[in-house]
Amino acid sequence: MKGLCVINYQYINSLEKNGGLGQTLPDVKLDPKVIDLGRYLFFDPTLSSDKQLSCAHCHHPAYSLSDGRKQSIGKDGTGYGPERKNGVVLKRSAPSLWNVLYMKHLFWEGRAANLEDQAEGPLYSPDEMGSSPTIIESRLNENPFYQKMFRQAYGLKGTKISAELVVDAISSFERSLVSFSSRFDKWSTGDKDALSEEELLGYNVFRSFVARCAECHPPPMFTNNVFATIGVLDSGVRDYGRETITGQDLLRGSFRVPSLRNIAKTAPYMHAGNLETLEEVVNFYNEGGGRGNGAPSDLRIHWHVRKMGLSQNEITSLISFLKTLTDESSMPKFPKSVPSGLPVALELESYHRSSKK
Amino acid sequence: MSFKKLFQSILSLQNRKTYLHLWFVIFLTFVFTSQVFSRTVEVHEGESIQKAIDSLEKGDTVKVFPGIYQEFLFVDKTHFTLSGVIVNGKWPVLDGEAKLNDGVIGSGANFLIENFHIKNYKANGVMTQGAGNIIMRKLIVENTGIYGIYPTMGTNVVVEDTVSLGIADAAIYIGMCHNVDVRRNEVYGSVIGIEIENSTNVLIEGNTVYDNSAGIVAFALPGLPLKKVENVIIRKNFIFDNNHRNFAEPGALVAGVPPGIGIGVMAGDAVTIEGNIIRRNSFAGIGIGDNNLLPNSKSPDPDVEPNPDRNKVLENVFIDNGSRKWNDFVSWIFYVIRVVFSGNPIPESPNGGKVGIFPEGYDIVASGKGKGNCLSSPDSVTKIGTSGYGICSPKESTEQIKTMIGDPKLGEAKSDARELGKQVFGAVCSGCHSMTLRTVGPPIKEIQDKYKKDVYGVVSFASMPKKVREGFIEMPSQKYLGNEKLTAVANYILNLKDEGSKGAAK
Repeated sequence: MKGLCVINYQYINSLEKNGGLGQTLPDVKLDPKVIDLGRYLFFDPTLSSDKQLSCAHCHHPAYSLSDGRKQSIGKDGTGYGPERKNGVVLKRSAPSLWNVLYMKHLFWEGRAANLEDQAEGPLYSPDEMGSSPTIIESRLNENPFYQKMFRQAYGLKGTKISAELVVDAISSFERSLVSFSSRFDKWSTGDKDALSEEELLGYNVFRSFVARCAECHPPPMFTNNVFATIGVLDSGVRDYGRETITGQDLLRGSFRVPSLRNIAKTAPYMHAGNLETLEEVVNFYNEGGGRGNGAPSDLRIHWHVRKMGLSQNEITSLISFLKTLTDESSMPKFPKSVPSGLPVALELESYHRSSKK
Repeated sequence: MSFKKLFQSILSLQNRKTYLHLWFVIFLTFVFTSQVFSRTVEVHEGESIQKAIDSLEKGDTVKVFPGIYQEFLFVDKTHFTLSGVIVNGKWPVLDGEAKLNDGVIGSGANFLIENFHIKNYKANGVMTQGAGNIIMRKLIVENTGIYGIYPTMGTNVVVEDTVSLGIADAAIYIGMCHNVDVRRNEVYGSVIGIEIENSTNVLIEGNTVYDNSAGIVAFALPGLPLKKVENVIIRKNFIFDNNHRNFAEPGALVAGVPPGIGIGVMAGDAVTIEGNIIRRNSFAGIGIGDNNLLPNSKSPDPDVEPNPDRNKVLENVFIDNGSRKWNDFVSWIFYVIRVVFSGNPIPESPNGGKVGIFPEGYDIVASGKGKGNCLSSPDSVTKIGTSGYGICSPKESTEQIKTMIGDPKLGEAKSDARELGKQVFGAVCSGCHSMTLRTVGPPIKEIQDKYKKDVYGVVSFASMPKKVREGFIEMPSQKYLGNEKLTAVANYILNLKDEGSKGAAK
């Protein structure tokens, strides 16, 4: 796994290369058969103990591989996305999966260092899918479709379906979720007309040191893969973030710096989703992050987070720029049905899009 | 390893450095002078510099004539020169009038910026992000809010012959860079003169640094992607009277820097301080400490090793450090007031207690548990906290290292065509094409069979695709990738071997 997710600044040398192609891609063994198998598993509720919840419930294409909720709902819920109700309310929001293969830490507080470990989190958590290797293996090994697909994808190794192979297939699928063809990428790879004047101004506000956004969100990944305390308020119970993993009180309330790719599609924002729109996010930072928004005094807020004093025009253009990071061209295809025959999370895409207008 | 062998290896390292320097000079000479077809665009007062920059092609030069230009310049190009022209002592001035954010922001590569007077910007004078093989020289940067000259995430960066003053953080700030030379600059009247943060291979030589709160510092700060500051030479600088009132924004990291520091090393490794004249810095000529040094620097980052290790203080001239003058007292009074009112704790002193309101001054103040640090003439300096320091070998010298600039390829955008092709394939094409399977588009095998070695054919199809196959969706145009990338990826695809179950893009 080593070396997979590190941004190598050595290769981030010019903007021309910054636009998404500027870093060495991980040596991923892209095997379409495994990826496709992973896709079916991702959408199949059979992996959860009560056969109700699939990965896609919280990482749904209609919500750009997140779920449009402040805090996700795990076990016993019904419905999808913002309409989901009645289940166990989880502590945090579901992060979008775009370019997740480049992330050095997974989960908001970074408790997993690779996608395989990450996938086991929700899969085996009693509050979420509540599954176990035994459940997964017994169900899938009884299913002739999956038996065939695993054999095709893994050869002999796939004859007996193991939980490790399931996790491997899901992780492979997740590694295929790349977003590198946004308008920003087109602009930075030479198409100077790809961004409007306003968007370009927004980019320059983004990287200027009045806003200092690009310090934690540098291109091409728009994250620097570290943890930062910005002092955003919790929605409910106090969340100690990274401190719960490392035990260091200096990391109290710090979370993974998320990538901004497709950020316009993954509202609401922050670890507990308490900022609804990009406008709210920019205003939050403009007021000095937690410093200007009544964060608890025991947080050590990152020294880069300070009052910005952006003008209204700068705020508007900054938001316009953030929208140029949208690229969902590698969005996985929604399967109409899955091998278990269980109902899949509705194809909300069309519904979601039309309901917004 | 025998002494002889060790000596040889040091020698070869030094040769390598000299050689690289030569290479870099030849390379830049080539870049900046041999472009027979390059153009020079002139900009006169009243015209737009940005417009000229936008029109640049590889190898071009923009010459800006004296005048006042109220612009915020964006430089995202490679291989060019942005040069001011000084006529009868008159410079071209970039004036932000306290309204514009930054003077120049650049993220290109292989460029030179020189001869500008940059003033009154809200954030930085010149900032580069990820720019490599760059030279910033003969700039005057004045009254910019955060940093004066600020290269970040770059490789092979030269900052020379500049003057910076009146900066509320660091006048010259080297952030997360590799292979940097900072020479012959004059920095004064700022909170920090020259700051090296989380960077490696840095040479700071021949600078005049005075009237800042701290002269030259090398800090390893927590919470950043690069975790250390290492292999830094601070040599032959004139560092005096750095007792300025600390006027950083309260709460900023540097607001905790006490005034009166000549050279500061925090959690730095392999920093060599040699041949400097260090005079009249009222708190410490040199302060070397761990990450607990400043109120806000205590490291929450497990990946940052907090102690200063393998640092060497070789022969330097120390004069009157720690002596008090009325203006030092004034700056300390301001410091204490700010520390009390901004809620910062008073920084811990080297011996574990608190720094007094008016602490004693020394030539060298050390704290932290570092290993392998040494002083070359311990008896000639006033010092505290250095009991763990050894005595440096009398033969120790950095003299043979002339530059830290490395292989220009490291500062280049990666130009290997196959690598580029592979990256474009992975990022753009692999979503729809695999080696032998039909996914969305046809398999690579079929493309190879159809085009054989016709790279141009693939490029032109990808630029202007037509619907060819029944039952396949029409491929979207990839023209936006540009010729270089399209050619690279076409080559890559046509030469891709079927590696069976290992998958297509290996």
